Amino acid sequence: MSSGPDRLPLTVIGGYLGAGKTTLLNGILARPDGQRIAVLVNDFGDVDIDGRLLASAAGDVLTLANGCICCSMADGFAETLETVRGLADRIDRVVVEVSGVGEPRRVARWAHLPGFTPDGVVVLVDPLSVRERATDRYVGETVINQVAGADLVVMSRSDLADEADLTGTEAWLSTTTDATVLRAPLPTAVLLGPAPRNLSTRTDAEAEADSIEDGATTPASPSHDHVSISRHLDGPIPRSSIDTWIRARPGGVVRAKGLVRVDDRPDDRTVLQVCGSTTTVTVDGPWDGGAEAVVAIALPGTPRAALVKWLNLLG
Amino acid sequence: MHLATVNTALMEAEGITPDTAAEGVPRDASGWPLGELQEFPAMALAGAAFRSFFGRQRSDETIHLFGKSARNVGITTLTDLGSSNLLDETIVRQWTGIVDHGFPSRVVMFHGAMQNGAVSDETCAAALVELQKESTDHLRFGYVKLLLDGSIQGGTARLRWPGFHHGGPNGIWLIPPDQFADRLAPYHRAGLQVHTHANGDEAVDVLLDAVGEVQAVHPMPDHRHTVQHCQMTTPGQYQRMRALGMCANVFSNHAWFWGDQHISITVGPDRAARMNAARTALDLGVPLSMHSDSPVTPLGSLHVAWAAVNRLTSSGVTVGPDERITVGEALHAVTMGAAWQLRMEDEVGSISPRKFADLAILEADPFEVDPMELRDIPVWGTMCGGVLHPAAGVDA
Ligand SMILES: Nc1nc2c(ncn2[C@@H]2O[C@H](COP(=O)(O)OP(=O)(O)O)[C@@H](O)[C@H]2O)c(=O)[nH]1
Ligand SMILES: [Mg+2]
Ligand SMILES: [Zn+2]
Repeated sequence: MSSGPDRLPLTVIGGYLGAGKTTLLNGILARPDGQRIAVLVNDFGDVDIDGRLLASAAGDVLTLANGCICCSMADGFAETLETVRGLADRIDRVVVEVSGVGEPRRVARWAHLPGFTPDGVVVLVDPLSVRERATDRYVGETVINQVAGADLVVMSRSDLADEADLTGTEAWLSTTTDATVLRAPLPTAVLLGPAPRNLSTRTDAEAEADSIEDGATTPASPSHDHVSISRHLDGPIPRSSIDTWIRARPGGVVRAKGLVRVDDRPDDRTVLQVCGSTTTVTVDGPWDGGAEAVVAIALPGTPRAALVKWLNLLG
Repeated sequence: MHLATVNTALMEAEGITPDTAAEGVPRDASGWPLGELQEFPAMALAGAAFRSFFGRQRSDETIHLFGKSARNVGITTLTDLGSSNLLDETIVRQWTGIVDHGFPSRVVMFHGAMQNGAVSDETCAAALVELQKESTDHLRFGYVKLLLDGSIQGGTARLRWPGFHHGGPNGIWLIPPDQFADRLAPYHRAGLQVHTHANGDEAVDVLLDAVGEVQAVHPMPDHRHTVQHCQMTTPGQYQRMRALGMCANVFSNHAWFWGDQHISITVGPDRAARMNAARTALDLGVPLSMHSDSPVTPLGSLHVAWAAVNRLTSSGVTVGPDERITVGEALHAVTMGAAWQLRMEDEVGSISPRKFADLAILEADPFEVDPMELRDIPVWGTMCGGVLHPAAGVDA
């Protein structure tokens, strides 16, 4: 069985040329939160991944051939992912920056390969230009498809745009995509997903340090003003509780991840995942005996009690 | 390559089960994958088998087989149109080590500039100008390949209005249109010839605009930039290509392999009749060649010529009879036409004094047989640089 619990979360970052993908990635790399991130770059613009941000410049940014992961020459991407998988004990997650004309939703299909688990499609838009770009004769459809295929749309340049640009773009986005729309800057855990370490790879020592009791809810590390809580579970949860949980999701939740056992598949690991507008439930291999836990991250101002109540629905 | 089929043993070994969450994995009623893997991300679930399949495409043995295939179908000059990254020294050494006087065919190597990664086009162009100096009689460097759009049958070509007949969305760009001229310019300035994959008419618009732009800034006589596939190109675009000094390498085999689908599904009857418009290209004075795009369709110039002469579909329809060309024109396109587009017109492409003794040796005269039988003419083999290469199974 080549699938297993030690899967690397893979987040796809898309958006048209100049939307701010590389800038965002450099921001993530510059914020040390302890996560070791492999960045795969499929777009070589004027802004490069900043080499000074890399722990070891050799090998940590794997450059992909431009155009390669979206077109018929895509076989090379399988080899790149295999290389990354070979580094799994050195990294915590993978981020792919897709070419400015690439379709991030298509690229995300690769995240189902053994050794990986999808962790969202995040599409950046420039609030100053995206609406005009969406009417462009050549790339309008591309821009719309990128946005429509996102789980999470992030507006860059919120420092340059005025409120009218931002709200106008938000209104346009709400008719173009089901994705959750947020304004940069955002904490890494929202952009890429909760650190895997907060879930199954947590050591006993770490768990004790956080004095987490079975079934208890506890604040995880605060990330900016976003609200983050986690809960550890003990033993399989009923299948029916998952459906209830999905339906009862409170407003403001932008990310959630659960590694659980379910009563009808107690020997397997079931992954619950929320990224923006998208919720998925998958089985990614046999249960490895690690912690059973769920983490949720919500927008600033979301009542913690609502999140606690929500996570308590599981089980 | 859009599809792979795998057996139960492989699915078990690679863990392809009802839990496999990937798209493009059709299942039976109980949720078990059927063994069909659609598109690369699903095909890659076949793991080592998938990777070794593509690894073998790059092996020494494959290059030798490429040469033998050419010999078997009567081809004396092959092109590798951009699947190789010639910035990679090991790839260059692999080809220079194999393609010499013993090899059954000359080979023209295009650098796949889509694979440049973080290397700038300026740096790449300078490296290719250096590499060009390593060209030999048998192996040529100094050519560049770019790609603009996808394919018509795959629904990924960029089409002008009204788009695909099947109503699907327009295709994909592999290079952003507003960056294309910037990517072309460094090669153009370095005097390197650029062949660009452009299937759809909208992709051709972008290409022609870019060539016009780089020519205005940096006029380069006799650049011979070439449109690869050139399938939907309109008469007006051909006129512009003529004015810009460009060449057309059309994909005539499409009539046979996808003609019926083009009529009924992809672009509809009107545009299918005008696809791969070899007649129009010749009438408007655009230098013409034709290709098989092997392995997309089987290697073989006689089949390519046959397809352009007859424009027959697999179901027996003549698609666009007005775009048919004569046997003489078709044979010229796959010999001298190709030589021109590879800048080898003074060396290969015709049987002439002071050119290489490169011959396709046929068992019948293509001007004598029924044009409908052009593709069936048996091939004895080739002569390349005066050396005979009998085809497999030929009693030499
Ligand atoms: N002021 C401002 N500039 C930004 C922001 N994001 C990106 N940029 C600038 O926009 C340009 C393009 O950004 P880049 O990250 O290369 O876009 P990419 O093509 O999507 O990777 C660069 O000059 C960035 O400095 C932002 O949030 N604020
Ligand atoms: Mg970038
Ligand atoms: Zn092509």
